[in-house]
Amino acid sequence: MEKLRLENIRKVFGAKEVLCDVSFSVFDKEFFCITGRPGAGKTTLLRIIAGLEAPTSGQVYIDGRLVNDVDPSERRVSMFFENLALYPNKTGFENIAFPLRIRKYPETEIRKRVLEIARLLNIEHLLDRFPRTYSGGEAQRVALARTLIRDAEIYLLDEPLSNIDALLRVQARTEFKKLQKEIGKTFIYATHDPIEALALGDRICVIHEGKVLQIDTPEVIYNNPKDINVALFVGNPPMNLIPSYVMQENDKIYLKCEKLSIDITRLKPLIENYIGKTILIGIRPEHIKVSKQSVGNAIEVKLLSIEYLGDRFVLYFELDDVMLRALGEIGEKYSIGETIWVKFNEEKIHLIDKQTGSVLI
Amino acid sequence: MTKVMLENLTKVYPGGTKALDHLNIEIESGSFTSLLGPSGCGKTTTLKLIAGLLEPTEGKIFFDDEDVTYLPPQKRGVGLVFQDYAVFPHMTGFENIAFGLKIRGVDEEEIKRRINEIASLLEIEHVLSKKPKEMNISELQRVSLARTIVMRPRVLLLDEPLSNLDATLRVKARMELKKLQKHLKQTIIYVTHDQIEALTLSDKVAVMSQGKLMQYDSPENIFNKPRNKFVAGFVGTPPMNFIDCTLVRRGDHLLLDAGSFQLDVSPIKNAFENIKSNELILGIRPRDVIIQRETINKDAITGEILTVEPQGVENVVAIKIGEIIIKAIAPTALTIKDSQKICFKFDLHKIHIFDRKSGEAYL
Repeated sequence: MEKLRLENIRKVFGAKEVLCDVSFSVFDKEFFCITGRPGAGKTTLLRIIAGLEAPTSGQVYIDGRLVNDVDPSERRVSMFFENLALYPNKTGFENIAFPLRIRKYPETEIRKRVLEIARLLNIEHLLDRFPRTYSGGEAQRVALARTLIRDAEIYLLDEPLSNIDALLRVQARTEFKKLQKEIGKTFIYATHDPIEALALGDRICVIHEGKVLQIDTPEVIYNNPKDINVALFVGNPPMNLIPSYVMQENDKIYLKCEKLSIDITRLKPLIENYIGKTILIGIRPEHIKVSKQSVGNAIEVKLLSIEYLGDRFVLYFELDDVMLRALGEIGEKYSIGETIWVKFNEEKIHLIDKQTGSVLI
Repeated sequence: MTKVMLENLTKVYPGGTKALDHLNIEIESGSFTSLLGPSGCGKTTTLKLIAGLLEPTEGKIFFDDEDVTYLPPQKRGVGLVFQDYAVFPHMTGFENIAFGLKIRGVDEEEIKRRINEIASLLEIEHVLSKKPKEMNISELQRVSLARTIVMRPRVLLLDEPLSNLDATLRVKARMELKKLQKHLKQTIIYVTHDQIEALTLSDKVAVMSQGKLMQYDSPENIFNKPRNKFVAGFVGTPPMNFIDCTLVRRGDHLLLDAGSFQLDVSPIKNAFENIKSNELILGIRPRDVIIQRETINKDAITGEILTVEPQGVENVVAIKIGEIIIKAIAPTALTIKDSQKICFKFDLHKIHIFDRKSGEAYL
């Protein structure tokens, strides 16, 4: 069932087009993640859904009803802001209870619901304390409780985990996913961290410079990105890009670089128009196999840098003046400057049109 | 080339906060050492003490054999670079780098020679005649670094110098920093809360918590042989799983009883010989939990999938075994769904054992 529908949303601030023809639907009880670099338009989009900002043009529907002219308080949405502000003179309990108090809920009901949400978020110990005694992560949870306690159909969450230590963030992520299931409501969640989006979203919307590039499940976003900016943004370490030349020899088609030659005859219908032109090869670091010995048709390169992740290495090397990354197995000893051999998993390469940025495969 | 020794270094701030508690570290000459820990662990205090910006409440600091504990900062020969690099906006790159040398009265020729050398090393020759407002962030960073290095400090102190850079630039900057250190054989002490940075760059890492040294070791040992639960939990993402358990002997078998499941550790029985306590914590990294869809052997433990978090290259899954929840890393090729029953086992050679009271590692 459709919960929210955006139709051709455009937003212009002065001369700047912040959102440009954004259309999508979010389903009931869905965990929908919007991800993109800072400045991509995520927050503006959430504010438009909440009714805090009017679109320059386009329509917002909630439960099938056009809400463009409906007041934020009447939309049955609840929004969490990244720059949270707790009332410093109120306890955690009163901060969380506030949205219910102004709506004149009975005292017993307030108490019951605050305790319930506090238990869910594991912040019972913060209820009697004042915000000045909270850590960044604790303050964020209390603010989150204040957002979630409101009766709403859609919860809009803008970077709710950004103030939490990297280490706790991974933990908090799992709790968040559980929480959404328990509450059983629609979540629209904005994050600049694509890995967080992959981990949380039922579907992910990748937004770039105000345009929606792709909406799909985490698996599809990662394995079949449709646009170069999706491919580069999602995945860590990011996808490698290598310019190559498409060449026909007899009845075979090859991708050629100085040191590389890949037979792509199997992709002929897709690639025919590119013969004689350059095209970008995209390959994820995990699909480049690294070995310390020369093995059949592997390419010899020099190891430029190593990043040690504890259980894996990221290895940096240069191929035709392009810096590339591959993953190295633990157990091998690598040193900067040594010669290594790399081999691409040719099944896993992507081909990207240089001009349009669209991913052909 | 200077060795740095910290002896019983203690710092109590007015008001009673103990920022540093009897810190003992010997930093080898020409090495790259990172101070790693969460905010408030005392790493920046340590750096300030070494720089002479603070006086210790107790303890001593030696550069080689010289006691520098009460030497003023300018006489210590330390170079300090902070994350907010301050360059003079009205001076060119060259003038910025030359500033310290001019004050010291170094002659023009020598200044030129040194700046050319450092500029080529840091690849900033092209910005020497530019003003800071014409430089990008990575160039500013390098000018700021050059300005410090050109003074030839005995010890170079860096306080999160890369935290203002975006991910791509940071990788490059790390690479350059490492190259620089190898080239200059400079003793570098580096403060960071970023474990990847510390593991990647350092010869040795000092992990700190609440003013105390938790472990001082090579990056490999910090990751693979954590000395206590703090280090084990702080380094590595997703973090290590910790499971309270009791050591029980049943006939010939040695078991770790976690309540919801038992782990037969008889194959590594020898490792347990020296463990006196029975109240233990089992530590296992998510990557060392091996998920099998079906019960292949009797060692496997059964659980239920709570959540699946795709990461692209692999999935992080939370598994519920009775009251216990652990995380595991599963290849994407293994299709698993929420609420599915699965089997898993632990790679016994990768398990860690901690004392439940002290948190010290036995294994």
